[in-house]
Amino acid sequence: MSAVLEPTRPVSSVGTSTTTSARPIARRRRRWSTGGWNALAVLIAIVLGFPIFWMLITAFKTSSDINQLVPQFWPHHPTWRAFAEVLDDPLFRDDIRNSFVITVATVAISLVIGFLGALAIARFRFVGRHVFIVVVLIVQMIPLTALTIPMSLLLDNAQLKNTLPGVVIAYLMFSMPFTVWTLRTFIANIPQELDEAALMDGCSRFQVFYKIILPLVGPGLVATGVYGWVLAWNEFVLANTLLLDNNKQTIMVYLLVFQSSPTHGADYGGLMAAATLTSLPVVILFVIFQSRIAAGLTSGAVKG
Amino acid sequence: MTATGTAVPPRVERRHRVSSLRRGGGIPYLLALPAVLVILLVAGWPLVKIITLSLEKQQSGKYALFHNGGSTAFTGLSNYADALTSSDFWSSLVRSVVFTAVNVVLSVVVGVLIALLLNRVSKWARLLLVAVLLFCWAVPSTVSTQVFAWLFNNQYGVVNYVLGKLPGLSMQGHDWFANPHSGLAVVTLVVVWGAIPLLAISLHAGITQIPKEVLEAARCDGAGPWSAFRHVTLPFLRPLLVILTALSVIWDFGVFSQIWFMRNGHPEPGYQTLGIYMYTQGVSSSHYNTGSTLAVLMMLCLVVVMAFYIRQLFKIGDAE
Repeated sequence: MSAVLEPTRPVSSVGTSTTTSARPIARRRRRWSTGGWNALAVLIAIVLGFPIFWMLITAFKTSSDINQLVPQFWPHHPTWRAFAEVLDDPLFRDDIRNSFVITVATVAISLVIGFLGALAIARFRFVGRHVFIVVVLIVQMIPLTALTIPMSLLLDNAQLKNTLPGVVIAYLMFSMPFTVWTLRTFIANIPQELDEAALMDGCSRFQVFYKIILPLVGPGLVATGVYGWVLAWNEFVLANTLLLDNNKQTIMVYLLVFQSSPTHGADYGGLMAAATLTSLPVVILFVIFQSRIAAGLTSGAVKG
Repeated sequence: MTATGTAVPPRVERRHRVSSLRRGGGIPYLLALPAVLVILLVAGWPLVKIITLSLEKQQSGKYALFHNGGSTAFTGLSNYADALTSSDFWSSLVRSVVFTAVNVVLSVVVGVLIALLLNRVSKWARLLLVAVLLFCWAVPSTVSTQVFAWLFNNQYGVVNYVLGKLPGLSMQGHDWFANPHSGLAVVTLVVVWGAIPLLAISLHAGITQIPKEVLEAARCDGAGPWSAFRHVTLPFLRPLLVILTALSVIWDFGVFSQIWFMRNGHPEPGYQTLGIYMYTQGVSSSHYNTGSTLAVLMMLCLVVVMAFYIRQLFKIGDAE
């Protein structure tokens, strides 16, 4: 607000020297209105944050405190029971490990191959470049649900159905075009003059990629990696289709199994604890890289 | 932000780039090759396969397709004729279109309002709201769906409790999901809640790109807040807004896990949007040919939006 307010003053004082007495009032009114907007922002933050707050306090409540007709807005008898039960479940441990393996592999493969592809479209003009760009953009927008049938046929043909590598391959379908496109934006923001200067100084093309572009695009790689992580970690429909055994599923499918099982169906404490643990890796990544995330979110190319 | 931010520089650079002979012979092809191969394998092959599947009909048992290929016969467009004459298809299509429209309008309007608010508040309030938005964005949609299902639980849900406090409302035991319309309204809340962070944060970044002088000039000319928004802010945000709206249409049309989780993996007919209908037909009941046909129709619905989006990206120079 103050950033907007500051430049106003010189302008208005030049233009309206006769109304000096009116200005403090206007300024006071602006300050008041800022207070009002701040209050509104706090209110919206509370409303938007409430589901997260409710998830956390439910996870820490005892079952008898959860099943109350008058909900308690604070866990009066906080307990780790729900977390301990979920963490004790061998299926949970298998599935969260699977999610980690799949996500790390998907992100790593996409970053390596995607970086090369992004270099091609950001730094070269070549025949077929526009076709490549359009294909990347289109594939990125295909609803995953629509491709579940042929994807499971593809993996079935390759004897990879119901295996983790199979899911990684399937995930490349959304992760690869996304990575190419996002990294392209970051590479395009590195001044071309740097490459040219290095080429003049006798660097080879590959030395330019390796010694100039790669270090400079480091933050971009991190941001793209985090987004890619979010996409792969949160994916549900392909995992639900391609992985059949309970101990081979991802954590997202585990959540559904947990919720629909008769023993856990009404166990909202356990469900909220599992949900919290599931969101944790992404939240941790966000807290570590938060400045880059906020900056990169604005690139407009990020899938939510 | 890049929409407005980088639209100008590439144009200046381009002449320079072409003149400096960055053609590089075979190098760009070599660089793009692995990505092209991957995309051909994991997107190209499935796309071709889904079209051929939609033109065939399984002759033998359900699972034949997965064992020894099964025997399938080419039947032309008969699957499409079947789909287009079924009332289930049309009702799920209408449901999808209405659901998408409501979700897109709500998310974009709320996104713009929060972006404008972020621009008006003090720094501490902005940091607080952005932090909350980032947390909301980090929560997987599966998780947020379960949390909302719990908030709207008929017996112990906090929403029923709070609404019941209002005079004249008796919400005790009210089941939000008995009626698919109110159930889908709750799903809409989940979708909008998850969509707001990206929209609000990127639109706010777009607003900060607007030169202060222009807004000052508008204010000096006597423009009130509404006309300043209408004639200065909105035109500046237009390219970004168009792109975000197109993307929202594509995402909201493809909403899957929110509905699937809300109904415990068994969405009733009243909850079946096109994607859910396709999945229950094609995957859950193993009617692969019907499912493929529906999937092709689903993608055809989006082709116009995709074409519009890509054209827009090229127009503002973001895809150059």
